[in-house]
Amino acid sequence: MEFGADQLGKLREAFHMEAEERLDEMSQCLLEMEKTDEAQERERLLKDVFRGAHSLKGAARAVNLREVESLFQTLEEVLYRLQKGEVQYSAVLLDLFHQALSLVDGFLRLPEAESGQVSEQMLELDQVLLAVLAGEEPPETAADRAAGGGETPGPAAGGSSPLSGDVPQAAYSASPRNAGDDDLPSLDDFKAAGDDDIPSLADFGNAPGERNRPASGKKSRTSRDDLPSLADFSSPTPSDAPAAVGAEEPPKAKPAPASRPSGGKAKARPTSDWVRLSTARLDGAMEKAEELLSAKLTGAQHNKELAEVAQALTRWEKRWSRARQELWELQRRAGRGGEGSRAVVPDSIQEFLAYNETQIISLKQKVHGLAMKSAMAERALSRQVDDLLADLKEMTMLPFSTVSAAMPRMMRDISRQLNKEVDFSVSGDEIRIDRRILEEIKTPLIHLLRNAVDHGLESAGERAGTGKPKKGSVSLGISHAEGGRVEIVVSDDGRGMDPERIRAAAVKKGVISQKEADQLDDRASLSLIFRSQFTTSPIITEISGRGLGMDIVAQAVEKLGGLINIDTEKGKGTSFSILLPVSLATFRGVLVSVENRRFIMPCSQVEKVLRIPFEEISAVKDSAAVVLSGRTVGLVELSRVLGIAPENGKKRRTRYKTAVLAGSGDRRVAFCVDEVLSEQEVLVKSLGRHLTSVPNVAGATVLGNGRLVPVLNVRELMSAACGQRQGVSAPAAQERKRRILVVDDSITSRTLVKNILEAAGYQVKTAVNGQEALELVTKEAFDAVVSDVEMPRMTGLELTESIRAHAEKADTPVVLVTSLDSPEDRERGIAAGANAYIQKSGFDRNNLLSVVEQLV
Amino acid sequence: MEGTLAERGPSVGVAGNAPRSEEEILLARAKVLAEDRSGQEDHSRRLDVLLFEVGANRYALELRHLREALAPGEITPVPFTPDFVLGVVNVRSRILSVLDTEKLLGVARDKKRAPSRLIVLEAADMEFGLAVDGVEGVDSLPESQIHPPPDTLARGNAKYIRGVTPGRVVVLDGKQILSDKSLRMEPAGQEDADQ
Repeated sequence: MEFGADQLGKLREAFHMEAEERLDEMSQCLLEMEKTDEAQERERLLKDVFRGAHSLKGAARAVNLREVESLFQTLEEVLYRLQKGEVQYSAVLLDLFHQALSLVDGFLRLPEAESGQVSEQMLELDQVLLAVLAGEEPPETAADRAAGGGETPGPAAGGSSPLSGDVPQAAYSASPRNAGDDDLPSLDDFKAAGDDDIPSLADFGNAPGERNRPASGKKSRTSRDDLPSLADFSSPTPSDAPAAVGAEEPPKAKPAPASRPSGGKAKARPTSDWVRLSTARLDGAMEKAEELLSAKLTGAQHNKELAEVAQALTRWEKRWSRARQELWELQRRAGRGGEGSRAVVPDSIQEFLAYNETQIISLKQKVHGLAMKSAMAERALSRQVDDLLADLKEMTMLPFSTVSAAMPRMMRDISRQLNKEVDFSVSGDEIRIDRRILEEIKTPLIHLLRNAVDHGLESAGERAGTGKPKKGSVSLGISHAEGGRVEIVVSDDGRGMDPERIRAAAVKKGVISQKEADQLDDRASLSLIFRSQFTTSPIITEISGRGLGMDIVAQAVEKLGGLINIDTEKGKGTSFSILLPVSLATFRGVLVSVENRRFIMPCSQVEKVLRIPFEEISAVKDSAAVVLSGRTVGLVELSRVLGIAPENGKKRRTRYKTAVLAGSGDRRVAFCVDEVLSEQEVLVKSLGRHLTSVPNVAGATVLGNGRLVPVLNVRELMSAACGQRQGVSAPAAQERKRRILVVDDSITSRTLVKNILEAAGYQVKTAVNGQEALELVTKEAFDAVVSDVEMPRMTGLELTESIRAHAEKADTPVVLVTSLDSPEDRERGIAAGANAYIQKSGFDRNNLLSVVEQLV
Repeated sequence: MEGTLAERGPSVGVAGNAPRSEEEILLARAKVLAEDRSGQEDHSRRLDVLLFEVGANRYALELRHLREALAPGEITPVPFTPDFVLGVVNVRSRILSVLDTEKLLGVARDKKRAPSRLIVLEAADMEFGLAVDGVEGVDSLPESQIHPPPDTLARGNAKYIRGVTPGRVVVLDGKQILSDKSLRMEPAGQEDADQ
């Protein structure tokens, strides 16, 4: 990551703050560990310390503090092994940990120019810890000295001491990692450095599986096993993820002051201008401020009602004055009749009427005054609430760089892995966006970038053939767009997308029928890639091609109230542009009523409200449709989609249907409703911890009158209306057992794969080499072939080619399982015609099963 | 959170080796008090419960699983939720889902009336309301008197029932209800997405 000096300075400041807090927490945990005898408690504390080390490692890397990073990396490793029980827990070890913390603390307190000595001590300690990893007993002497207080200020366990050079020689030889460390950062590292820097608990839980932990002290970061799995990319950011480097989980109660030495050489850090807030507290404040919005809406509602009362009184006054006029007229006439004629209205009643009139008129005046004051108050409140919310929104906004900063590194990893040269550029990363949006959009962006390299860019050879520069270029840009929105564009100069191929793939996958495909224009075809289970990649790799990515991208964008568009030209490249709101807090929605129930449809997903005369509604097969600007759009009763039984009450008879035209990508559906009540500002709330995810419902909102109204997820609803199933659809024809041929010359691998597949309900036959397999494939029917690559007599590649060349069996899906994994090998696999390529090293049953399930 | 004080105390001692401070003494006392309580739980096994009615039946739920009882207000039905979910209510500007107690227990009557109260169940990661017809009050039931439910009851959703008292109060298993994954509506296919 290239930073300007200024930016690095800022980041360092953040790092210092984070480190200070984390070091405190970690030493606190260590202290508790010393005291507890309970294994469980110790384990928990150990996890906390591990997490701290992991975070600080990543954060230190981000601010380019190599010494700190290196030390924490080793520490993390030791802690990991300690958790696994591979390293023995001992008091000496604990002292080493303390020492590490205090050294780093001291290091950070010193001005950079003076930190040299401490930095050396850190390196020495690093070596000692590496020796521990290599299986040596921690040197008592070093630990003793560590415990013995020293010149560097440190946490409670005592100061630190310079470790002299009597570190065992083995420690050096066992750690050739300092030199090679930077060569190829693994995705794991990327996660640590860029992924908010703070691993969540879940993150932590995954850790052992994801990373490559060499059994010896050797660290070979370039090992292929470090290649990222899909899980690394797509694991969603935890919602409580921190705002930025150094702003994270609520700080626990500050440890006892004793653990924080003051004075001495400690560098005074400027703190007074800054307040650190946990994002949880910021979110809490935001939530409360958003509540004010409900109050504002309620106020407006009351105000409106009050104005209506005032108006009613004014109407009364008018009518009364007419009536009074008539009464007087009558009275006058009666009076003229002579002395003895009776009054029309007795005096007592007249008096009462006069009294009534003054009372009500005074009431009217009061109500009018009240209505005016209330209107003023409401305006003031409204302005203040809006101001407050705007301020708070501003506070929750972070520059796009908090997400994009990690991308160059990831892109480098991916491009190396795929053996493609990529020129990656980021622009506009200073633009500020709501932190919650940034969190949500990160995974989709990673998907898009990964796809750009894997699918978008051609291989170097192919590029040369078309006269393009050998180096492909991928860019990530963000800019302000109209309507207070931002536009994020991910583009590549690769091969572009071919609508024809997409249609064909969609038909093959059963996403649409051939007939539907024939009716789709090119634009509509492109949006097919957002359907679930769609992929055009001829081969499933670790990087992409499972057809899950684009679906997730579209969903995430939709969830944020954004829009995604594809622009592609064959041979020239593809660009995805995502329009997003800058802030999440509120959006506008259309309030509709169906069968006396109310729902909100977000305006971002509604194109317009229609009034369709009955005669314009046509029946296409069994379903209703209407032609809008030359295009046939399906007409669906919202009540039917929502599963609401029609009420038996009488309905207003109309000569038209009211409908809401919803649009997502290129799809349009008109939902018939009973009434469109209003368009208004909406604050969406989640449906609570029990209903964390209800299909087709995004949440609920509180109306001005206090009523709760569900907010519909129109995009999902459109899919539901089209009868398309969301998510992974169950295999339709499950009656027949799927037959799989497993080919491997190793009996162990063969049995393993066979067992996995059989456990998943497949019928498995085995073959020991390609030739035997080919004979079986020719004679019998298989739904898929899972084959090793390196085999005697006929290799997996040859087998694949032979199957592809076979007259009848050419369509049989082939999954290659192999220990070879270089881009060249993979390309050979593709060239041979394999459908998927799984590494043995990254071999796990779920991976295999999901791949097979997708292919058969 | 509860542990922070206790955790902090000893670290003072380690760090400073200071003479026993007032704080330490207080902490020591607090610890003794805390231990005593856990000891008590051991010998007298009683359940502190809330008694409530649904239809003709009386039920009890342990207080430790309950947060509050509320007037239900207007329950807004939510489409695409299972039939034991009555809907959602607005509780102090937060949304709470409301479950139909009888559907949950599988003892539904034909005739429905609007619930008169909501009792709110709460665990660390879960909360929801149960619609009930009336709340009787708090009681303390000796655990020894809670017997396994008769077969007639077991026809319903017996897994949520802890037992029955001689007074025919059905004691529900709050922990089981709160932790039952099948009652939750969580993102479907998330695992797939994670791959």
